[in-house]
Amino acid sequence: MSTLFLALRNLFRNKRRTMLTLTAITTGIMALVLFDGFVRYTLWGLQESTIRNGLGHLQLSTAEEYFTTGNFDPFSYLFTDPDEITKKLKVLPEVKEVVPQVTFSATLAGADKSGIVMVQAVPAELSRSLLSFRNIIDGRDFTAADRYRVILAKGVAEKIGARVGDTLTMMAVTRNGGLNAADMEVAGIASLGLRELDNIQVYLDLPTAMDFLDITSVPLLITVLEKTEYTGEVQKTITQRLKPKLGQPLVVKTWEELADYYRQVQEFYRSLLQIVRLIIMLVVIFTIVNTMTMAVLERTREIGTLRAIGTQKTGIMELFLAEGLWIGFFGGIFGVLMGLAGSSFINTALGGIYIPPPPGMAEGYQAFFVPAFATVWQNLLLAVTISVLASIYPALKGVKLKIAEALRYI
Amino acid sequence: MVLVALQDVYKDYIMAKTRVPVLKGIGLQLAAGEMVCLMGPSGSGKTTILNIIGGIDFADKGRVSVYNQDLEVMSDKRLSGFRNKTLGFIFQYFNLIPVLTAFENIEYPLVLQGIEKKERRRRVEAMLEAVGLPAVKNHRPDELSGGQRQRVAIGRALVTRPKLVIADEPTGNLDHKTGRAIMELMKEMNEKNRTTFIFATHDPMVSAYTSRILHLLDGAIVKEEKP
Repeated sequence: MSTLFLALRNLFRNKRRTMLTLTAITTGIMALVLFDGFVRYTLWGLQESTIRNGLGHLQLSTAEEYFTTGNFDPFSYLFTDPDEITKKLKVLPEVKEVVPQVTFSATLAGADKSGIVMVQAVPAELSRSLLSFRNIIDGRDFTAADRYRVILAKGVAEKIGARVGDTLTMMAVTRNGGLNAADMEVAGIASLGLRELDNIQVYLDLPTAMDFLDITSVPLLITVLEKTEYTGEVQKTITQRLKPKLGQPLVVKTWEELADYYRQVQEFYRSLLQIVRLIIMLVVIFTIVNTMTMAVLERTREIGTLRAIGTQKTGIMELFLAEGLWIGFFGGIFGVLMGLAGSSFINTALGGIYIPPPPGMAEGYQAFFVPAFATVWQNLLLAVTISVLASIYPALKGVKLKIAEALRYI
Repeated sequence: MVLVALQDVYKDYIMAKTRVPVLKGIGLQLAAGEMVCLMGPSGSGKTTILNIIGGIDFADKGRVSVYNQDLEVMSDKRLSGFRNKTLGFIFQYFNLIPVLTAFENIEYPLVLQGIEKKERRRRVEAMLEAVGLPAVKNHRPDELSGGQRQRVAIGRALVTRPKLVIADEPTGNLDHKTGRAIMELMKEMNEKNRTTFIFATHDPMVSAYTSRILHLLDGAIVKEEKP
């Protein structure tokens, strides 16, 4: 007959109160599991849309400065031999595609209006692997034969008042410092999901961009990997194994280093999760302290008896902490199971839940709940820990009881 | 051999900010194997004397020696161990642990002693037999009659083979017939094992089983008699 055994029996002596406490913990942990699953899916969605909206998993350039000023002066950072690097990268099994890219700022003018845009130019045949989250909502995507055609992001098309088939004039500074202007036909209009991209992005095929800017090389190689999880590993391989063998400078950046918006959102959700966790834990602590204090009060004479027949103060402490441990354990287990069942129900029976566009996003999305295995166990551990910690105060009240007074208690 | 010695013991309680003297210079001695009874009206100090002897309350003044030990200077660990191994307690309201069966209630003090399971089982089974409860060993207290509960309490008090059993109104919650049976049981334990008993009671039937009666009034022993 151990303390844990006695504590377990005590848990069932006031079933109604135990049920209420368990319900509080179960609900709290279930809410945490669901919220965690929601945040995880949302961040995953944002991560993938960020990567597949043109950022890629890894970006390779010739200098660190390219990533800050390169869009305004791509000519200073052109690779000597981009094909050599592409060939070496493609040998790596984790690499799905290497996409040469030029990004530059330009002015785009329609019949009545004009605006500053950011032009992203990649080979048409590779655009699908890099821009797989680009959703053409009007017109069509590029074909390999397209030249001097553009795809406008939705916001840009609205601002300039352009439609599919319209001819726009693009103006930009070329390599020799002169200003070049060319007519471009609108091939399609795309929605990118992120409002900040939708309002500025324009797509061009790479040969047209190189011809337009009068360049023969590119300043950027974007690497698309088979899986996002490979990012760190491949960055290490490129930096440690590939870079020393190249006769040209190379800087490698991961998508996470470049995706400021993603990092902000991630930070926001993490903070939100901590706040929700804190609130839920406070409710759980309050419930347990209340329940256990009531239990100590009700069992005053019993505590006196246990002490009289030889139980030490530490034994009384252990008994109430063990009761807290059981409550936390059962509440945590039920909470986790309910959270997983709830996630499964929302994902399969309801097909997710529609979430309106969050700040900075152009469109709403269907949210699924994908709790991570690790966080599920973290929540269970949290329930047990909080429950045991919350039992310390009532347990101390039990320990401090004077035996003679406790035995007189009615 | 003197088992318990109280010399000029004083004890006050604070009630509503007023100091109320409960014991006023108590002196008594208990010899091994004795059955002694404290009698007196409510508030005369019977339970306080038992509590002081049992190491669950302490005197304000005077000397207390139980089995040659000064309980006041012991740490909680030592005192708890002393109560567990040397003393047995029987209460008016039985004070059984409601979530444990009769068997487990009797077993509990042995668990605290760290006795191994097989030996515990042997001693508890023997005690259940001695108190006449083998048939209800798996019943919880709320499934037992008052007499059965007090028998379990006696079993719990005696299973550790204590030197001294402290019984506060052991028949106070029992009918006359059951109370008599309980006293018979304790008398038998006293004669068989030479266990010392000290009772606090109002019940003349209890005192009839003892070898010495100490009458208390307002915190002082006013008369000693042999039944």
